Amino acid sequence: MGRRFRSWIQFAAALIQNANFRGFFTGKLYQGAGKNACVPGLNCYSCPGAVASCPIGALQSFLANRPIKIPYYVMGLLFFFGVLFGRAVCGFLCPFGFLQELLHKIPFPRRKPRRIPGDRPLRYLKYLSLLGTVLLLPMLLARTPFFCKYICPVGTLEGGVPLVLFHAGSLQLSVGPLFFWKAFLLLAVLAASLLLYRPFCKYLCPLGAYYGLFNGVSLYRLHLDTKACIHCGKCAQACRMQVDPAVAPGSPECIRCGACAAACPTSALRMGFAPEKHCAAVQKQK
Amino acid sequence: MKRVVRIILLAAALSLIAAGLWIGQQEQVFLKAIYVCLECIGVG
Repeated sequence: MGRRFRSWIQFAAALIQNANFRGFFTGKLYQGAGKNACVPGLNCYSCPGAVASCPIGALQSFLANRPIKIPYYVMGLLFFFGVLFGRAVCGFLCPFGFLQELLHKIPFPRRKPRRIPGDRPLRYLKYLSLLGTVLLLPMLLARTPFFCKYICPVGTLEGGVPLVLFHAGSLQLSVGPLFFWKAFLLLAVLAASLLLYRPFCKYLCPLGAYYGLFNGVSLYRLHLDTKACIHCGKCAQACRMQVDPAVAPGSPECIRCGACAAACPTSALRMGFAPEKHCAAVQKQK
Repeated sequence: MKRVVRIILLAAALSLIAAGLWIGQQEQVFLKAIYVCLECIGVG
């Protein structure tokens, strides 16, 4: 699958998930049936364009309410997306991931680093973010969706900025230190995206951490044909998430962008819902 | 083996969704999503 084709899918996904274009002009949220369901990626439901709910926000609303209800519905949806796609959600369907990729394409006067010092341990931050700020803290601190309130840059970008800046009213009067903190975090993530490939997805995104757990078993997967692999290392070189697909095709860091499969000179790497079949067919032809 | 795991996980996911729909949890998701979430946008 070509990189350009994936970009078009990302663009279409971002557009479809935020198809209430009128909302951007009126400042009013969509109130149709689509909001009964959650989208697979991070897309704030307080965005005037959003036509469905954010899974992380919905999950936290259950956990932060009293009495706590077990969020069967949201957990089921997250489970479903995870089993079906794994982190292909990040690579294809998440609007914020797409935005970070676009920013990373902007040329920079200095050479962009592939990784930062402490990259490996920092990757575990996203699991802390999932466990601590999405699950535990909302359960312990009633009525506080901790991740949404203190960290999520998507809510600031998609909800905060358009609603506070472009639609004057009581919201503007409510702006305080919290808004500036979140705006700072958003700017930091966007600025980091100019240099690093998808910094939020690599280090902070709880949804990416969650979907990564499914990468080993998801239906949409990366398959390595060990007989065809010549261990040239081109796949690892092409990977911007710093995964070595020849060693760990089911790595939780892989966002299924397909750069490794495109770089493979022997077509040993294949991605899809039944990649084994395709590899077997290629080997037969040979 | 992985195929069996996938089927079990998919069945579990669909069961959870069905259980949630059965007790009307989609309404709570809907009600949270149709009003501006002040915490989410950073003013709450």
